This record gives sequence, C-alpha cells and structure tokens, in this order.
Amino acid sequence: MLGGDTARFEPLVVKYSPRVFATARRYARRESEVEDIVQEVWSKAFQKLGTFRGTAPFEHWLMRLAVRTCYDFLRHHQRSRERVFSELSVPEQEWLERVMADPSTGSADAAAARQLVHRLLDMLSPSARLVMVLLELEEKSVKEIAALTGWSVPLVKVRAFRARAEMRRCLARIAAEKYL
Amino acid sequence: MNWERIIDELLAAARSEPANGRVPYAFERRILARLAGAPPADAWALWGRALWRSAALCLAVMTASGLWWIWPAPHLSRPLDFSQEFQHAVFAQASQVDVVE
Repeated sequence: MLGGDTARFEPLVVKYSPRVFATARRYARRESEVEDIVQEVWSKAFQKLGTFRGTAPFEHWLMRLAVRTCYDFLRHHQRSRERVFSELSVPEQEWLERVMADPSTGSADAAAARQLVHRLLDMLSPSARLVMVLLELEEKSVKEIAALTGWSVPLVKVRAFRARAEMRRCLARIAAEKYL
Repeated sequence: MNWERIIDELLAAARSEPANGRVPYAFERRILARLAGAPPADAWALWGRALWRSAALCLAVMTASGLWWIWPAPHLSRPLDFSQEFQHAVFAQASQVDVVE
C-alpha cells in the first residue's frame, strides 16, 4: 500500500468513508463542498500513509487528518459567514420567538432549532466553529480535541470559552435586528 | 435575555440530529481512480519547492534590509562618513595644540 497500490487502499476507503462524510457535513453545507473535503482527506491519507506509525488505530489518525482538512476548508471559505435575520425561515423565527418568550419550550420543533444552530455555526469564526462542533455537538473531551486539532489543552479551553461568547453575540445580534 | 439557556436548547437540538454518513454512489471508485492517476510524491520536487520558498523569503528579507539601509529615519541627521570623521579628529587635535601655544 505504501508503494502506491490503490487496490489495497480500497478497503480503507470503503470502511471509513461514511465516518469522513459525517465529519465533513458538520463543516460544509453544500454537497459539492463536502465531496471536495472528503476527496482531499483521502488524497492526503494516501500520500501521508507512510507517517502512520500504527501505535494508534488507523481511524484516529484518519479523523485527525479529516478534522484538520475541515479546519483548512473553513479558513479558506469564510465568505458567507455574515447572515442577516431576514434570511431566517418562518419555522426558525417562530422557534426563536417562542424560546425567547419561554426558554423551556426549546425542545419543540427540533428541526427549526437545528436549522438555526447551523446558521449560527456558519456565522462563527473557523476556530470557534471547529471547537463548538467538536465540544458541543460531538461531545468530545478537551484532551481529545487537543489531539485532533494539534492545539494545546489550555488553547482549546480558551477557544471554547471564546466560541461560546461569539455564539452568544451572534444570537443576540440576530434577536436585536429582529426586535429592536 | 438568557442567551446561555437558548444556546443550550439549540445545541441539544443539534446533538439529537444523527450524523449523516451517506456516501454518494460510486464515490470510492472515483477516489481510487483519482489516486491511481495522481503522480507519486517526488522527493526532489518537494525539495525544489522548499528551496524556491526559502529563496523568496531571502529575497524579501534582502529587499527589506536594503530599503532600511537606503532610507534613514527622517528625524536623524545623516552621520558623517569615515573620511570626514578622521579629518575632524586630526584637526581637532591640531587646533587644541594652537590654543595651548
């Protein structure tokens, strides 16, 4: 496989592609972008296979590569981060209005909430988005995030704190544009 | 407004969404065909690329230091060159001797 035999690489691609696609879909919305990310991940994996030492499972090594590729993608595609409240769909607006009036009703209409959270994630900076996805959506520990991203544990903690504050600001801005 | 609570509700909703690991039809074949067609990594090419990058960096440093040398800071007067300094030193001593005499 290290000699460039793609046929031997095929079982790995077949086995781990669903996992890589699931990761990529956390960071990109358009399916064409998701496919570009996954393609990039496999190209890098094929080229860098020689650096895989085998001391940890292949999946861990691959996911580290996938997360870093997704982060690179976010950094290079920051164009559509700014969204305005008028772009919110009716269910999203209704969900927000309802939860602002009574936060205990948040569990109703989860689909609208998911749309809104994706919109908020789109507004975050690349590092904030990465840390929010890994920490809050994938529920990884700070240590795991540090291993995946290559950041130090204190840096992950600082970025997580800032990401949460950034998300709060984005949400407050959306609400202010609508109600003030 | 309790934004923290609202964010928690939003994130809980997002967590409840199952991960979508659907792979497009024949994607593996496309990837493998692409990998098979890709040129193998050439160590000399990588070395050459690194050299070109370092050459560009050296050029940038050279240009910056050249500019720094050509344009002195505006508030500083231009220093005397060596010949003028030497001349001043020699004549200063000579004028001191005249004064003593």
